[in-house]
Amino acid sequence: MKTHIVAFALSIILSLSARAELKWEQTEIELHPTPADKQAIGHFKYQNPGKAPVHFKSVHASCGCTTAQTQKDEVPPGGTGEITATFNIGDRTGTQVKTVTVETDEAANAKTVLTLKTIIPQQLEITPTFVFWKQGDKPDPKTISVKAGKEFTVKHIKVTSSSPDFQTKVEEKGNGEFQIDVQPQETKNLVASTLTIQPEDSQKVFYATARITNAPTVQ
Amino acid sequence: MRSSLVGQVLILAAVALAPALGEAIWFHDKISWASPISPSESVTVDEAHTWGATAIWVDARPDDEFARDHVPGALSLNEDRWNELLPQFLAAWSPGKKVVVYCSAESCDLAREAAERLRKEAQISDVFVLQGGWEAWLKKNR
Amino acid sequence: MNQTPNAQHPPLDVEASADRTTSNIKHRTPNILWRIIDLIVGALFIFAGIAKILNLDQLIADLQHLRFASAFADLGNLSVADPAEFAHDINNFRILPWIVSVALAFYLPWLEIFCGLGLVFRVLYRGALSILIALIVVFTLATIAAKVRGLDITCGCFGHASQHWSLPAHLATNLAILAALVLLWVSSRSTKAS
Repeated sequence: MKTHIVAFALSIILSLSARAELKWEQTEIELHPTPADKQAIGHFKYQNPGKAPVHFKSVHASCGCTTAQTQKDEVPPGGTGEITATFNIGDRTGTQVKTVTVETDEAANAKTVLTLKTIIPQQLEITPTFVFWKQGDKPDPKTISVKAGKEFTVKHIKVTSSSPDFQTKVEEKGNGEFQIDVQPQETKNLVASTLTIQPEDSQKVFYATARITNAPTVQ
Repeated sequence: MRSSLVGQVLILAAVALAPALGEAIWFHDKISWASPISPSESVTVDEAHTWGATAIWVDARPDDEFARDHVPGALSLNEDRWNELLPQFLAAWSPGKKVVVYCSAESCDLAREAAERLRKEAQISDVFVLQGGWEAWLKKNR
Repeated sequence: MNQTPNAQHPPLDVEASADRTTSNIKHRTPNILWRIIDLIVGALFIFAGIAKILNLDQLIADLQHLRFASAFADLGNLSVADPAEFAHDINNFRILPWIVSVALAFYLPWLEIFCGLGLVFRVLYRGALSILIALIVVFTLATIAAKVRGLDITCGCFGHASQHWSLPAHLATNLAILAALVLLWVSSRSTKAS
């Protein structure tokens, strides 16, 4: 009974995939860039099993952060090639799923969607990334929690304030958890500071902001 | 035997309905049944206009689209350069301000994602996504 | 008069009871196996339902990395998941209107939990099996259809908690669960017949 179920499911999958014009080695790639990487690149390999050449009509990505390039515009019968999808990580976090839609001329509307899933490792999780005091508030310290990502070991962090108007104190709670206490000298003036948070032995830098803001606008 | 099976299915379906209804009532203001954005988290162009100077407009589209055209006075805040652009947004923000985030259209997710990051990471409240996005703003204003 | 009525047929009674004992042992072993499968599959669906109602990402990550102490601590810090997340996952299949996606986002987890409990405690058993088989079949077909249409879907058996799984992993999990459910169904029918 189990064999019949597996065979049935496989036949559905195979019959559906037989509709694709080019045979793709993979239509889904999962990438795990390092924290230092600025880009994640996926190589989608294909071959043309048919008897006629296949032309690419269009290749476009789901967002401006991803570019896709074909090696050639025409794939001869039996020919192989690949589409390179480059995802610019920028300041994105978490799991990013971007797609590249490929259209060919072999049949009407022959379209394949290639999926690039990028798991961006988060070395530090900072909450919140913004602390503020209203003008005139008591300059009590506020806390920013910092936690090392699941796959990382962070023993120490270094915190620097871009402005002497704010003092910072780091408390190591162990197990990759830290507490940053931020305190302004006073809250009379509208001043701000960018807090640079850097894990020990790491080039990657993280940021938080401390600021004295205007009092709420009264409508 | 057949009716017993049907009876069992109906009983299970009914039993599961009770807590589901309770949950739906509990979350009634957290989720919109009409559109994928929560009613407390989205705003129409007309509503946003009534906020006047207390609204900060945030453009979540890529740099080139922002450069081409944007809501007058809007700040660019996209995920390509989030760390670089965030400070200028924070400089413009103060408690009591309402943040209106937009991207190209209703179907675009960039505004929702940017709004989510402002709420979760910066813990800023009163962040709204513009219904219909840039397209909706253009229809009302141009 | 025979003071011990059974004394006239001791060999038959002894043989009959010996037969029953052997027969019980023969049936008890497979019954235990089916119960184990009941418990595993039932627990899986209960967990799947709970994973859509509560934020279990942290707990699952700790369990995957065998950080049991952290996992135990996570149990004390559980928070309710945003139902909009699961509604978005269902909506991404682009099969149902948004309003139905929201309704299912609230309803499906509880249905899974109660059917899972039905399997574990053998209450409304065949009804629970029917519903779970129907759910898995519909869900697998929807996943394949979404993939064929080139949709970006991240919904899995465990809601947002399984968003990082690849399609083959999703399908393999669904098929394995379906196989177990069908085996339980067939076994329950043959038990009824015998």
